[in-house]
Amino acid sequence: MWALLNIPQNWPMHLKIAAILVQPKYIRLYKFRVKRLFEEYRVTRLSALILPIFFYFISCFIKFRAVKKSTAKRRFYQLYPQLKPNQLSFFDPLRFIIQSLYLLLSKPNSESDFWHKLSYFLRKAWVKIRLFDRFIIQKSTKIWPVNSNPHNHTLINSIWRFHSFRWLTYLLISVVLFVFISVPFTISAQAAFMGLILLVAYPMRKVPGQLATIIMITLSLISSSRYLWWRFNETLGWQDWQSTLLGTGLIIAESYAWLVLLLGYFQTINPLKRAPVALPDNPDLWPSVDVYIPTYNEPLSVVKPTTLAALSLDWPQDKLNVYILDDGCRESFKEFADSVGAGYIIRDQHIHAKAGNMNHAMQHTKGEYIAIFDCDHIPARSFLQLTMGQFLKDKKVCLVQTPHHFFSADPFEKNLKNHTKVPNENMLFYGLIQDGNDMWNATFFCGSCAVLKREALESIGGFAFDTVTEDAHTALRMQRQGYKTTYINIPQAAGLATDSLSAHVGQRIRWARGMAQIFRIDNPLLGKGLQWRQRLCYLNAMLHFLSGIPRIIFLTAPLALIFFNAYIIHAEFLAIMLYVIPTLMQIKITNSRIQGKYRYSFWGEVYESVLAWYILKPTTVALFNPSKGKFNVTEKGGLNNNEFYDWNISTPSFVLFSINLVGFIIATFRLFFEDPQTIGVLLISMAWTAYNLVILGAAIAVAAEAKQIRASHRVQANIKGNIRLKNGHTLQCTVTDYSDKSVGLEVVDLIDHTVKPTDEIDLLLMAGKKQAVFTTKVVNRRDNQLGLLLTDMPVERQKEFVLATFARADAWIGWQKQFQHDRPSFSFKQIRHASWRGVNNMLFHAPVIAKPFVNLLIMGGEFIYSLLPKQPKQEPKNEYF
Amino acid sequence: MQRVFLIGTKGGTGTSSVTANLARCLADAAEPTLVVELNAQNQLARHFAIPWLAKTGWQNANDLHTLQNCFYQTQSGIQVLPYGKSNQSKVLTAKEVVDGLNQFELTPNTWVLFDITSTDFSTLSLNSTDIVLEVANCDAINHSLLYQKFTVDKFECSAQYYVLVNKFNSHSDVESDIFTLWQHQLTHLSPVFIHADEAIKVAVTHANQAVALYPANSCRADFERLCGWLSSLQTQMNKSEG
Repeated sequence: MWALLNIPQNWPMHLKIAAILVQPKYIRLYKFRVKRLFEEYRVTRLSALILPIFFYFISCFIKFRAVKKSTAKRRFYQLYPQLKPNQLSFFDPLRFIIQSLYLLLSKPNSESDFWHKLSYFLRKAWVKIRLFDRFIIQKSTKIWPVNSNPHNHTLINSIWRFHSFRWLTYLLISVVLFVFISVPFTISAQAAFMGLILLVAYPMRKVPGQLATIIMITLSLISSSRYLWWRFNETLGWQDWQSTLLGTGLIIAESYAWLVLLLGYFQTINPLKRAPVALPDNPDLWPSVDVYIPTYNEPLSVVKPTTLAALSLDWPQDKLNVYILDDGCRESFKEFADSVGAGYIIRDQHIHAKAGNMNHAMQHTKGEYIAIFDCDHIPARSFLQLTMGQFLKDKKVCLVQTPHHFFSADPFEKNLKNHTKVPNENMLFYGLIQDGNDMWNATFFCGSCAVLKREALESIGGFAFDTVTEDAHTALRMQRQGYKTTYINIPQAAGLATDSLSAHVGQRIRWARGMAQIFRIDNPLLGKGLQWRQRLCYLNAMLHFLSGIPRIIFLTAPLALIFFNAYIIHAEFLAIMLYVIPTLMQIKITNSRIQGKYRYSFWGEVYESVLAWYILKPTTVALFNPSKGKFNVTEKGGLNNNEFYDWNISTPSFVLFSINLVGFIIATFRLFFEDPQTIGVLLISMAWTAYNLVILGAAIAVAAEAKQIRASHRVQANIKGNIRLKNGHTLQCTVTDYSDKSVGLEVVDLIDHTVKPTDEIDLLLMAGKKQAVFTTKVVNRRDNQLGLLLTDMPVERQKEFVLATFARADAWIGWQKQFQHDRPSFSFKQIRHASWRGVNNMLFHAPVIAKPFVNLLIMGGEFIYSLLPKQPKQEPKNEYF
Repeated sequence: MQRVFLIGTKGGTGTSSVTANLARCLADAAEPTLVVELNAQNQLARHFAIPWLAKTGWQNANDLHTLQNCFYQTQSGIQVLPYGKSNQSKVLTAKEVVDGLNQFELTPNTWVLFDITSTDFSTLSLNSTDIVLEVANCDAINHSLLYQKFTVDKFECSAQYYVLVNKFNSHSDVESDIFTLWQHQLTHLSPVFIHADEAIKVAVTHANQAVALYPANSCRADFERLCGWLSSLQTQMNKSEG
């Protein structure tokens, strides 16, 4: 029967039935189309069935053959960028309709013209502003009397000697400041006042000289104090208990921030930048020095280079004794110490951790001075030459501290991948704050890379062991005895940074706890022997570690309005704008000027946000019960075999991020339903939340632990040397990186010679005045770059190698100079990128349980995005036609 | 004109190769350079690709006038005056040649390098602006000779006198130790030394200088450093004079 109707026998039944109604050849055609759409265009089965019918329907109105297909197709996909050729989906008709409506309703060409013009004008205006800014800076730099020295004015000097005049001046300044701070202004007057302050401060930010800094600090002091005055006097009229509670929290946090800001200004107003003092020409007059290298559980490979470098310090050999203070009592350490000629001291009772260890060693050694290196800080050979002069110049000096420099990336640098691009967390302290402290004779002892006077230590009964930060406490006690502490900002030792975020956080917890303990046990504000300046410096150091609660308050404050409708700042929208924004801007500009080379804008917030939650508990506990908590050793030099995301450590940031995100979304919805009066305040809250999200995103990004493959860290270098090949040719080379076992170097040209892996070659490097030879084996070669592994290294060679690399006097000299001055907008951009990466990373590393939700979220987001109308693509212009 | 005399502590310390390479290094720095061989071995030509059969040198000149015809010029711009070989009865002495060069119209600031034996050297009269480089190797015989010369005989020289260590191989403990000893005791030791390098030997077989043939080798860097040091010496002397 089927044959009669011309229908193929082998067709399935439903097709046969359909073929009764439609001619079989059309059915075959339809079948082919569906198959092609399904298999080649990968559309769903349903769309494959529907689309051909749709096309047949369209073909009733358009003569397909008359249209030039390829052009039409191209034009179509340009107009509908969300539709992808070869990848049709079921919702494409919907996208088509949305985009068609969009194209019909908007006039793409005229609109794009408008935007072009607008962006052009904006850019033009921006360039003009920048030019004007530069012009003002140049003018003000010229006008400013950079070289005028106030000490030259004899008249002022002679008047200044009178106490009464001096006090009168101070009184006058205070009264003027008080008036500026406390006089209530109307909103327009406040606008004019802040505008004026910014107008003076902004061009001054690039004027060289200390006087400009002091003026900027004074202006910042006025505006910030004025802000706080306003907050206390006019904005505390809370309406309900929620806003009272949350508002109190905010005002306390703000007062804390204000206090820390002022103390910070005080601390860094005039960094001393102390220069080394030359030693007497006759080495017989130089004092004897003991070098202590305390260790507890670190491997020998870490302690080895430090000991060898300490033994080769430039100092008369009969006056230099190196001791390894091994609290782990390991036999291998004793053997090593004997073989290199270092002392080895252990004790029976392991009490009071590092301080106890060093106190014990003090009973067994006799040097007049004690240099201390953590076992992973390799000293440069010039360490004693640069530091000891201070002691001989001033008998009251009890401590010379040098910066801690780290040649490996700390967890922030490693995980955010900005090593050597952004000054690290340490830099602010060692580059600026310690130099500032030195001005006020309040340099802190940092536990390593420092020389102490035995006499001073004995006068306070040895290293302080009551707290977990024995170093800061020891310095404080010596200062109470009237000794001076000094700081030389030349890195003369380098070590490994902590290498995972959790270890880093652990170390900071210890510092925070220790500082809080000192605050309770031996409060620097009270007690004898300190000057008020020193007290302020110590106070700031301790307050810094109490930043946990305020930071969390700042990270959640805007949510009060969004979630609870609590008006925690009782003021008008305009007043808030006029007080908050100019003040913040001014503080940022001032800090950027002072700290610019050592800490880029906004990074401080990121560092604090990571730590906030963790230092909150130990500081609070230690404040109430100072004897609790024990000394934990910071682990260093570990390996991460795999990339992983440290969910444990990032939980607080993650929680804060989530509630901020939820808050932001809720606020967005509230915008549509709120009465217009609150919209202004809501917008401020949203902006603040957005800022918090960026900062927290960066804090989250740090928790994605990067892989760390090499067991020993490679130090970037640029040392000239030579290599001698087997055939006798000696080539000049540049050592580009090194570790304790290997060297990477670059030669100018290797064309004339065959060097291949496993070849043995000699490496010639200058170790001081002597040329040292190291037997090495080639590990890899890429063009002119060679990787060498050191072989056959007796102790004498190892010593020479350390001298030629880690312990060079200039090894760490350039570390502060490699950074440009801060540019706040650029810095914020970097943080935004880090933040975005952090969020991506978090989603990527989501735990298995959360994976489906995350995937759903991503897919949903992508789907909604794909539905949105888009600007049509431009026809690519071909200039050859 | 800056005169530099190169003498060996003993034979075989590599005086002529140091002369050739130093000359090339100076010439490459666009300094006018003249090399004069006052050594009867007459082998300096080997470094400068002067044909083996060409025997012309200052020995062939009867007087200063004919001496003008005895110079060679290499492609790299070095003027070379070899020792030469002739059967005629000798007319000029080393001293006459050295002094006679003063009367020549040389390009201003020409570096004139003399490869000279110590016997001839003792006949010369030097100014305080002349530089003398005694090329030595770090071994016991050299040490003995230098010790005899400077410590026992209290050798004095009116010119700037320096000992230049050549073929230094720090892999050998003896050399390394002697070098350290010299650094401490030998006041005339130059701050620059030349590494032992196969390239210097190989370059002669190509009738070329190692600094040009193997620019990647350390000899290049060493000689560049030597040039730099010499010119800084010259500047200092000019300063102290002016």
